[in-house]
Amino acid sequence: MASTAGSEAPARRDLEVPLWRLYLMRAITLLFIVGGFSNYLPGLLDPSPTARGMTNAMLGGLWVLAFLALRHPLLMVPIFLFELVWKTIWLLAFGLPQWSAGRVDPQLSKDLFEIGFFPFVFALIIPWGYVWRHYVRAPGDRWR
Amino acid sequence: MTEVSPIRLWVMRAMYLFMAAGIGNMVWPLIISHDPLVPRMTGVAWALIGTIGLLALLGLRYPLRMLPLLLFELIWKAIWLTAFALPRWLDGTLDEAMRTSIFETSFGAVLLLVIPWRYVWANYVARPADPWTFRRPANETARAHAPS
Repeated sequence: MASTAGSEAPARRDLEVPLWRLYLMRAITLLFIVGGFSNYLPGLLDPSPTARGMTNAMLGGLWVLAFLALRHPLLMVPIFLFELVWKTIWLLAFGLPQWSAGRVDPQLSKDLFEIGFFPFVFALIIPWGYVWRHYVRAPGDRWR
Repeated sequence: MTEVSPIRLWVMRAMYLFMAAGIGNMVWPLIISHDPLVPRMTGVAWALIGTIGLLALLGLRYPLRMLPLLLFELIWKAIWLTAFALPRWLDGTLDEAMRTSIFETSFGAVLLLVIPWRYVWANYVARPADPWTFRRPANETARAHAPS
């Protein structure tokens, strides 16, 4: 991979997003991909007969797109935003209210870490300057 | 650059609007009321679906940049239909709720018509990857290895 991109590699000053940040985005993507082989794939290949499976399918969908994000982290910024947003929604609407209502169960503690911790990670990894320039300030796609 | 026609952009925007309005109507009230007794997977599912609705709003302004969201919709529905619905259908163990879900999820097939595949091919497959390396100073002709 590096060799094909190598001949077209940009100079450092031409990069819109620093290379270290692209690597950070790729690193978390890789973590997600590797984890998915044991977390998501078995549930999809051999689904439990009682599972409705919506959640499994959605998490599996994010997992499939992660392969693209490894190659094109910037194009896949919407997926990084997606991860940030859904985990934040879960934390605010479900995780924290249940925790503050005094619910104690091992699954909740596990989720609070595995889901609830990641909004902070994504908030640090997402290139916000790029998001601002391309998803807020940039003129919208044409209407006519 | 592959051009996408204005009509196609309108069709895509209609799709984003449909997603945002439908989810805003059906799922967001459930998220906002956040019943603490909701089962674990249901909370996760609502958060995921709610996010689709929220990000679809951004798709109204930037239909092309938000294409990963449409791809996500198509992929997760395809996964659900093949991994969960199909085996149950083959076993003859579909219940009413599953049948309704199959009907709703199959509607995702319109995405096959909505997504501008040529654009997807040009930008997500054929286009060179985001950089893995810097260009080295001119006297260094070595092919880049790992970045330092």
